[in-house]
Amino acid sequence: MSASQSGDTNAFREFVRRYEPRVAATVIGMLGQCPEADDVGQETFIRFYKSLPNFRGDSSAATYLTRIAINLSLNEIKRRKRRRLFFVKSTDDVKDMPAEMISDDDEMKGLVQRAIQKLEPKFRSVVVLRLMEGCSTRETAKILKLPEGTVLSRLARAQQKLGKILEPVLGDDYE
Amino acid sequence: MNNKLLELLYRSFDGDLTQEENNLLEKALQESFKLREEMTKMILLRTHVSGSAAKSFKPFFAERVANRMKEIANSNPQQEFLGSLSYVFRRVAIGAAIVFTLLFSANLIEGKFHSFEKNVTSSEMSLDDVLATTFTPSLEDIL
Repeated sequence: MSASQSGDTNAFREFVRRYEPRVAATVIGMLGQCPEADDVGQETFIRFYKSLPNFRGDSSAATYLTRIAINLSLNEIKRRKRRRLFFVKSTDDVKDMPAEMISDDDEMKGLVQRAIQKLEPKFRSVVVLRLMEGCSTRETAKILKLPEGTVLSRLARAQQKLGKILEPVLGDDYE
Repeated sequence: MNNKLLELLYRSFDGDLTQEENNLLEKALQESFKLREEMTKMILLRTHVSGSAAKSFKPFFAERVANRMKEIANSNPQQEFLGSLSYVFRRVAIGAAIVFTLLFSANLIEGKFHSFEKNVTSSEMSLDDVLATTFTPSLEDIL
């Protein structure tokens, strides 16, 4: 981290490798598997790198990165909404993979990811941070700049909604 | 199923219950099959959601970030400024072209000519009239 701060690009490359899973979980969770997700991921690290000289370490690097990733993802969602005004089909549609390439596990992941994409961004961000990234309620509240009570109520509503969307699948698993 | 109990169940996953609420939920879980079913579904849901988290971007992500950083480091700020300027100009030019096309189409449809000048200036007053009223004060006005 300190090597990255002093401008060592190789150290920063290592840093990217280390935190890629966390940023990927946030960005792909928010945007789904799409070409924009990669760009937003790159932009997250670039913004972080640019702000390294001012990084005081008040919060952990992971929390700081997650906050940047969430904000950039929310901006991308807003941009998509604007684009939808002009174009009928947008790039956030989940790409269909050839059936033979999909394992049961992939299929389930795909279904869950699609269900998450159906949630409003304010619910989606809570699900991504709390359930996918495993942030605590306090961390989630800090990243989203919300009261903890709001995080909990949004999470409860998001789970209810997800439960309804995924009911047929969860029902099969349960039986 | 009682909504309050459901809410308690959802909150219980985040460890947010008081001792009293915990006791109430445990008692309800023992008594209600539906609530137990809901809890199992919730555990499944949370397992599936956490399991569906993406673990990486496309391959060579770190290299792509490093390449973009190199591009940024090598880029000339003056060139970047000119690039942004031409980007803004392009938008203004496209906007102006749209306005021009709309105005031209409206003229064609209505069969008469509308100009910007004609719309903003009064047709009843000429420039001479305006100058005359502004710059020829009478002696009475001055006194």
